[in-house]
Amino acid sequence: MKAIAAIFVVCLMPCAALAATPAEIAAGQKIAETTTLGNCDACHMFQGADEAGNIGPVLKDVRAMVPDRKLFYAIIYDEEARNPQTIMPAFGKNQILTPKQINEVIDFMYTK
Amino acid sequence: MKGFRCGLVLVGLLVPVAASAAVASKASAASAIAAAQAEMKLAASMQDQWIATVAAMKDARLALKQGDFAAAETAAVHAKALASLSVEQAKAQRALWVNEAVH
Amino acid sequence: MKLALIVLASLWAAPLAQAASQPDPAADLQGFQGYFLKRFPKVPLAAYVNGPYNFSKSERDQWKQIIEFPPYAFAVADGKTLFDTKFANGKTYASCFPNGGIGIAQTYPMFDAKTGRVVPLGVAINRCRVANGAAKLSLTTGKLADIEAYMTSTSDGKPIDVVVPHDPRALAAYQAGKEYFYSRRGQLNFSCASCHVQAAGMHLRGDVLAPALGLTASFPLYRSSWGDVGTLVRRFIGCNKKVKAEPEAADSTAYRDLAYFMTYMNNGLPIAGPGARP
Repeated sequence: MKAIAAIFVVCLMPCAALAATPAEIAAGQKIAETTTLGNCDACHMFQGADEAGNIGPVLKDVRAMVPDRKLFYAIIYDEEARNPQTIMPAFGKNQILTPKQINEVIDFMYTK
Repeated sequence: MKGFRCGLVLVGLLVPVAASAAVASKASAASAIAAAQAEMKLAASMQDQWIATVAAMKDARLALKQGDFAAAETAAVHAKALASLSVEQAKAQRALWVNEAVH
Repeated sequence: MKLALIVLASLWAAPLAQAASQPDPAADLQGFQGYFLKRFPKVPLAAYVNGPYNFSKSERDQWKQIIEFPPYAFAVADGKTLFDTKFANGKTYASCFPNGGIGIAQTYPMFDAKTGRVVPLGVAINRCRVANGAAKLSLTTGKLADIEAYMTSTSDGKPIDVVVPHDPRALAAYQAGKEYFYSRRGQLNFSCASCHVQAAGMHLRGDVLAPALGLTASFPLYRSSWGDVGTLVRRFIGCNKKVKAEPEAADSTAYRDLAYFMTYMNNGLPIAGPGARP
């Protein structure tokens, strides 16, 4: 009975998107710091980044910066749609990252 | 050779249903490659070919050569999608570039 | 009456509209240089030829060390030897250029009325070779970059003086170069201006993005990341790849026109090539 309850809870957790798993966060970090993928630190400083750039805003207290996860997704997917002047690449629209990868980057950034 | 190519295109037009059902054949893969190639030609003419497009096309050709028609078709469809994105970008830039100019 | 007014109005407005869309290189130049001078008031106009070193003390300090034994010195020496070496027909490069090719690099890229195309210095060197029975060289690196390095060294300090003549073909080439410069391309959706105007002086990882103003003045240059001397075209190819776009051909009209626009924007700044960059 206990086991069934545990399974039930585990199943509910991701659906409610309450917390990212350590694996998702680690995957997000890898994407964020890989030049051929997210390459986030080329332009953004965030804690732990090595030789980060300063073209984009510093990513600190990210959950307070972009509390709306949907908006965060939209920014990474195609920021130009919101702000035509931006030089942030459209990671989703231009198929640089998959939706899953974008979500992992968000999971990672929400730890910053 | 020309006639052969025409035949491939015709077959390609006739089998999109089969292709989407993942029953890729040599003909359907070749037709997907031809379609991607046409879009890539357009992208190149607009001076905006993406490296990823060329890489996907290379994958498609290699898979076709190796007889993996499903992989060839998937890669070709991907190449075409990327080429279309770059064409769309280049078209938009013809009007938008002036916004970046400093005066 | 109404019709007459409309006709009159359109007659009056038409030339104005046309004037607005006509390329005006001189006005662009003023606006372009003014933009940077206003944005970075502490950097004097001539200092822009030193690119990133205006914006990073650590890079500037490294540079000062590097140019004590300039890494491009060999290229200049080799280039002079090549420049002075006779072709099979007994002629030299000097026979192809005004003033024997000395102190003239600041006038390139040049519009060639005969072909209606822009001729950068590298293309002019290759033309000279072909005219004298020699094969073309690579426009990006190696012997041609060395010859260019030598020729540029003889123009050191001379103000850049690129001319866009009143020829519709020259104006069209200039305009095409301008459009290429400001158009976003590649999977990353960057224009040349995204990095070298908008983000100029900022850090991309550890590297300072050089402002477009002054950028052409120190080419050809030695890049530590290349490990040798390369031309402006080599940099164009590298930048295109960085934004994940397929580069153009080294002698393409697109790159010729781009070099024409960018170098024209540097008119008045001193030649500082060959240079050295990280």
